[in-house]
Amino acid sequence: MMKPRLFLFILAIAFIFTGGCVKESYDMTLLSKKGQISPTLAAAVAKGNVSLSDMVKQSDTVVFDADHHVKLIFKSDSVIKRKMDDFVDFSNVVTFSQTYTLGDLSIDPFQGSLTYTLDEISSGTGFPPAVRTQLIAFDDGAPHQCPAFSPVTLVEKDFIPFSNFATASFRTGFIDISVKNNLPAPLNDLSIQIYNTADHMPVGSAITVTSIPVGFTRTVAIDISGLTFQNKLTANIILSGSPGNTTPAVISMTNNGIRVTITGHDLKVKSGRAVLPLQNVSSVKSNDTVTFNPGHGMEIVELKTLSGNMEYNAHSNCAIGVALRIKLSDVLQADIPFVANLNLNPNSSIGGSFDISNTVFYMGNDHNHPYNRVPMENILSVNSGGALVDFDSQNSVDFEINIANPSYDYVRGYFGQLVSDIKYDRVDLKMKNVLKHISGSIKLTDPVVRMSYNNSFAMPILLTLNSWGIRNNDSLDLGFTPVDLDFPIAPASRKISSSFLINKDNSSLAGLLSMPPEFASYYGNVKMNPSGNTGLRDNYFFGDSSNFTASMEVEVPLDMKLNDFQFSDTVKNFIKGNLGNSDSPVNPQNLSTMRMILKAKNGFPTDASVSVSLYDTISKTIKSTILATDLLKASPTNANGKSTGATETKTTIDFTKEFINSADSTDRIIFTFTLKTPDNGTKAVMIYSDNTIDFIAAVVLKSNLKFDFSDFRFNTKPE
Amino acid sequence: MLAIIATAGASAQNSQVLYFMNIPQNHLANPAFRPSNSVSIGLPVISGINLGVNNNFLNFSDVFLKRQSADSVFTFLHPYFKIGDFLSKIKDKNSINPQTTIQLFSLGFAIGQSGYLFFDLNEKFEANIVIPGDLFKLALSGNEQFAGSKIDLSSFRGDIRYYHEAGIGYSQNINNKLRLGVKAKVLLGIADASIDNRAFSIAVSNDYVHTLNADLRLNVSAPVKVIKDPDTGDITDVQFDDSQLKTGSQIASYIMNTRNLGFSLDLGAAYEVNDRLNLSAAVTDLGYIRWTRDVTNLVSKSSFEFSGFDMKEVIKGNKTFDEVSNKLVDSLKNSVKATDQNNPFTTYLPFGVTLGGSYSLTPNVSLGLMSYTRFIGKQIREAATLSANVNLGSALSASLCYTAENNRYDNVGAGLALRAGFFQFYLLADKIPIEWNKIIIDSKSSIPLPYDWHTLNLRLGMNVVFGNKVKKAVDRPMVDIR
Repeated sequence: MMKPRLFLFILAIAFIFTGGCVKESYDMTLLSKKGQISPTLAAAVAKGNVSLSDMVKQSDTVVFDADHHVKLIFKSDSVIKRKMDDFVDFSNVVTFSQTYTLGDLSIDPFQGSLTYTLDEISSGTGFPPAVRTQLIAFDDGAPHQCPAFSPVTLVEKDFIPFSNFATASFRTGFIDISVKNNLPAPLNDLSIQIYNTADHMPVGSAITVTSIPVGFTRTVAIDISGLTFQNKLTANIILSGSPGNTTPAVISMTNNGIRVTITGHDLKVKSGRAVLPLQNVSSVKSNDTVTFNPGHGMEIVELKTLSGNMEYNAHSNCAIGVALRIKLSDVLQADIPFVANLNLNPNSSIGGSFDISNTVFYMGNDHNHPYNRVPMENILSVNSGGALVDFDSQNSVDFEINIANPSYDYVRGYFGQLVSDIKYDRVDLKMKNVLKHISGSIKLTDPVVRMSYNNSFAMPILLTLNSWGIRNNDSLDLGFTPVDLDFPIAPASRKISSSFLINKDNSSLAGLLSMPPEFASYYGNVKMNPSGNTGLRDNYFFGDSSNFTASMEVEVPLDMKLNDFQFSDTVKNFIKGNLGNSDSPVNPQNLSTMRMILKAKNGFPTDASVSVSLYDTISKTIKSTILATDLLKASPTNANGKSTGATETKTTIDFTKEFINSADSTDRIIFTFTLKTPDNGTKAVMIYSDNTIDFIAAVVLKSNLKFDFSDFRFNTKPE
Repeated sequence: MLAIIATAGASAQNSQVLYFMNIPQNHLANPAFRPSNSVSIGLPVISGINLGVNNNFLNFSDVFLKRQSADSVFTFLHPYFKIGDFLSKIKDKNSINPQTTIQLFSLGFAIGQSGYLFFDLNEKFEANIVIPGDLFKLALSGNEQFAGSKIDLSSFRGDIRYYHEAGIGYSQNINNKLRLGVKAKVLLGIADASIDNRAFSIAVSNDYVHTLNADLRLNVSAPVKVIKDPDTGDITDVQFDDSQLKTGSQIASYIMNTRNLGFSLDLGAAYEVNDRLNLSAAVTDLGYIRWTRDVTNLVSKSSFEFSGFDMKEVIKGNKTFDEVSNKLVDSLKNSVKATDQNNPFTTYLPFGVTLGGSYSLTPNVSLGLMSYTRFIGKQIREAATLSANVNLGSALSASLCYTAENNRYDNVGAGLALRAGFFQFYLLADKIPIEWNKIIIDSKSSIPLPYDWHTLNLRLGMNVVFGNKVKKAVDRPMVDIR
């Protein structure tokens, strides 16, 4: 029983397990070891919410306003710098030189007297002896009638020498001869001749003194102009007699007589030796003029020094000491007119300087010549000090002053049409490398050049600036109209800070900067008093502090129109060699397709496109180009061109197989970015620092990964 | 409940054919069942070897292909073939369940009028690996296809374990219609590795932003050591530690350990509606194992979004691109950092619910209908079997089954048990491989492989049986519930 059941069991097993048919044979010795998978991999690779302020840092050049408006600012300090020395040279503007000739000098009056007693008279030649005797007899103290006598020549007598001169040539003068009749009888005319005692040369002509009553004095003057005599004089007197006197009078032979007095007065000597009393030299003009020579056409009416010296030199060839007093009434030091006194010894020279610090010179008080002149009052005085000195009217004193180079507080007047040139210059704006990379059109709408200046030249100034931009063979004139600069209203104000603009309203600045230029050339000038002399003479220079400095600030708001404005740059191919080995899914050999998907919300008011070209420097050809037009679309804007939102775009950039293959064999990549503002580049837009791009970029690539099972490695060998 | 399901282990699926067979092993399908023998003894290994492999997505011919008019064999990855054809066969959840049960010993004997006591000792090796279909698509076709949706890896799971099972059961008629049975099993775990997938997905937006969300835990009860970076403390490697398994005694000690203790329960009932119609129901493998020896838990909770390198700081000039990318890499590393713990864990056995019914055409021939629903973690597998059964006492028991399971409707199985004297030989197969592939290894040898790999479940063995009740050929109900 068991065996059949066992047999059935085995049969059943055999039926079950062998009953199936062979559906397929697989010869594993013919198994192909090759495999390939082609996954499509995608991942977001980059993202960002980037504003312009993230990309560009605010700096001195890139400035963000409070409302986030972006401006480019270029500053240059002291582009124009002028000081007073550039216009005028006030050194050695004052030189004064004068020779003072002494001329005729006065001497003190002199006087001498002679007395002829009756005794001497009666002893003179021609006096009747009888009369003499009579007179002698009458000299008894009782009154007697004085007898008449005939002419008599008296004995010459010498006056006592005059002390105030030794010898003198008189320019003018008089000698008054006074005769007093102390005789008891009148005298008839008498003649007196004065003689120079030394050589008994007559001094002048003889004079006749008309009859002199008893007790009367008669004076006759002798004009001694042109006469030279010494201080010893002799009188020769000839009496023409006396008619006598019937009126008895006491007759004294010793007490009666005549007294002759000579008095020299109003004496001016031209040479000689005399005692010269203190006296001003009359030949010296009391009013002189110190003249300023600031330059052609300049009319100075006032200046004040801060420091300086007025140098002087004086030389005297006088045999006497002289004193020179200078007064400059219109030169005030602490409101006090300038006065200087110089004393020169005989035949000597002196030199020195006067401190003229903080001194005001008023040079406009001459009604006939109200500028550049300072009146000078000079007094040259001499004084022999009581001593006899030799002198000559031709003696002189040379005097000169010089104000060399003081420092001025201010100078007022009219300074003429002074011009300081701004020399021609051509400036390389260092744009060459940038210009090589850009093309297309950019129109800056409102650039501004602000010239800020500090001006302490208190006078009208006209700035003329000629400038033009150059790029290749094109140039554009700035076309800037000359501008009158502000100036301080002196003396209340000494400095003014102001500015002027160069903008689209007064120049072609926008067009010039929009070239953009590679070079900028310019020249010009600064002209003072462009309208000429108005007669006001109210220009001011404030000494060394007078200067004009101008700084330039170029402000370029990023308000612009862009029409296909392109920027290109060539960089080293960073893809080459970085795409992994042959097993890498991003290795070009393994890539089938690759695309980049860029999703962006663009808050900038410009369209943007980009092209990427692979450039082979050996064959000098572009191997492949990827073009992404409309990569970004401009955001909506308001009427002013300000972005009011964001425009969303989604761009797919397909990297062709050709591009991928070329990416690993070319050595350069050329990126070209193209920007365009709305309305086909005709609408101006404003760029703000808070304009933002919110983007996410993903890469989708399809790899063909081939591998070989035989050695469990990937390879890229083609089948 | 979900946690229980989530940590459920591999299936210990019994053969569908077994349910209607009159062999001592039928209590494995329903503890209320008993064989017609009074005594049955299962000898080590000989009494039962159960081999099973189920996969729901692959056949040999899906992996290796031939071209027309060519003898060459190609893999599905060969450039000649479209990967889409392969991917069309991939399911959302692709599972592979290998399992092996070796019965070391069994003993069953009748008690009283209707009682039956049974005892068995088994060695069980089970594995259940679920590979999400999106993972295949991701690996072979890339991630671009997932834009706007999600790479769903939530079904990713892996469980593998080895344990001893010692069970004792008893069944008895409650009345003349109802029979109940219960089997209690003590489980002694040897080694386990299971992935607790609480969340695992990668969302891909339309902008290709990837968001990884992962909450994974790998529980291991095995001699492994975690290697950490001494500077950062990061886990760098996990290595097998064979220091406990160098000698035979060490290996024996390791295998005989009792620290990983578990328990499971089988419940069953059979109801005779009338003399032709019988209904039955069972819940099997309702249990758990608590793993406490050589426990290592690797926990990784990650939530990371990759939306590309943020270029803002690079553009601002505050950072270089390398710094940004390094930071991103560090963030990713920190996000997916795993920590290790040594906390005991519990795995729950997948349990099955069986509903069956048989209609006796004759006392020896019956038709059966069975539904077996297995709960394996988040998976629910359903198998419906229609069978024709012949039971000639304990002499012959044969069953021919048609089973619809694994989305396959071509499963024809059969079982045959023949008794020769005291020895009962049995062979069961849920799917008889009708078609075969001949695999030529070299010029001299080849091996046959079933054409269809979806279901391979083979049970065979030999029992020593005594006290066979059926003396003569009379119709016997398939299930004797007395």
